[in-house]
Amino acid sequence: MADMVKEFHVFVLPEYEQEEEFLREKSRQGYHLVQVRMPGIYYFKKGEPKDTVYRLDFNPQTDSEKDSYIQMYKDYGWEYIQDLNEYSYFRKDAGTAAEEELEIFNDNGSRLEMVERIFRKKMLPMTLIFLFCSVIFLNYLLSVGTGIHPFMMVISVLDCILILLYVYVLVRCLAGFSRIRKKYGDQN
Amino acid sequence: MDDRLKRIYAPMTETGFYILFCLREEMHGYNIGRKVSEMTGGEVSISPGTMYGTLSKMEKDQLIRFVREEEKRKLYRITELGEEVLQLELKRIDRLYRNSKGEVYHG
Repeated sequence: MADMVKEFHVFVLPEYEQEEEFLREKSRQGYHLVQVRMPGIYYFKKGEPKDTVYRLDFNPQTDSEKDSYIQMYKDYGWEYIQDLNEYSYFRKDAGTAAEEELEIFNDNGSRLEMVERIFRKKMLPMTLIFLFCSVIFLNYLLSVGTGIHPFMMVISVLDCILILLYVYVLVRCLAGFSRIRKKYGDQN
Repeated sequence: MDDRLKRIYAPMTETGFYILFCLREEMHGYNIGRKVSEMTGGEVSISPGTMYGTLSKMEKDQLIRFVREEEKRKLYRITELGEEVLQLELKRIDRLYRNSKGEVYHG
């Protein structure tokens, strides 16, 4: 499709507000979200510039709950776009809506509850898997010592790069969580 | 009522109070939101994320129960335990109100 534009952009777990702002800005420039795929590939359709507000909710539910969940957002005037990584994407025309109609949370308590859900269901498992894999890998390196096969040497170097990348993501996540907790926690 | 519930629901958030109060009648999320907006002259509005989260939590804590589904909308109603929690909150609000008028509250 000729009028479809692809853009790569990475937002980690607690950076959903930045993602919402990014999508709104794209809409203002006339690029309207069609789909987003892992690990951060956005497909936009070129059209008229419009001020559209995007919101991400994290509230994983069973399939049987999904319909009523989406229906409630629809009743409130939100268009459901898709789910990705258990986040649900919604949007609404900012045009004539009152400011509170452009929010999906009306108190900081419920904003923080969403932060904690993300932390519990995504951040913790991700960290544990990382620690587990790192320990196995380090254990292997220690056991082979200097008698390492050249092929395994290459694999090990790649592993190290991966671990560094993962550490970067983890640190960025932790910083993001701390920022957003502070943002909504201080006023309570 | 156990201590955990007391810790969470006493005192309640404004949103929590209005949702529980409205569910003395059978209702679904969006209707609760509209009713609260009418009752408060638009001063309190409950957004869908907060509404969904609060309903799920209250259902899990058995303050409300799911009654039936109507065109993909889930209708809930307050339970006995929920009514107990609500009464506790109403009493607290009554005390606050009386104290604010300079009265001494005797329970």
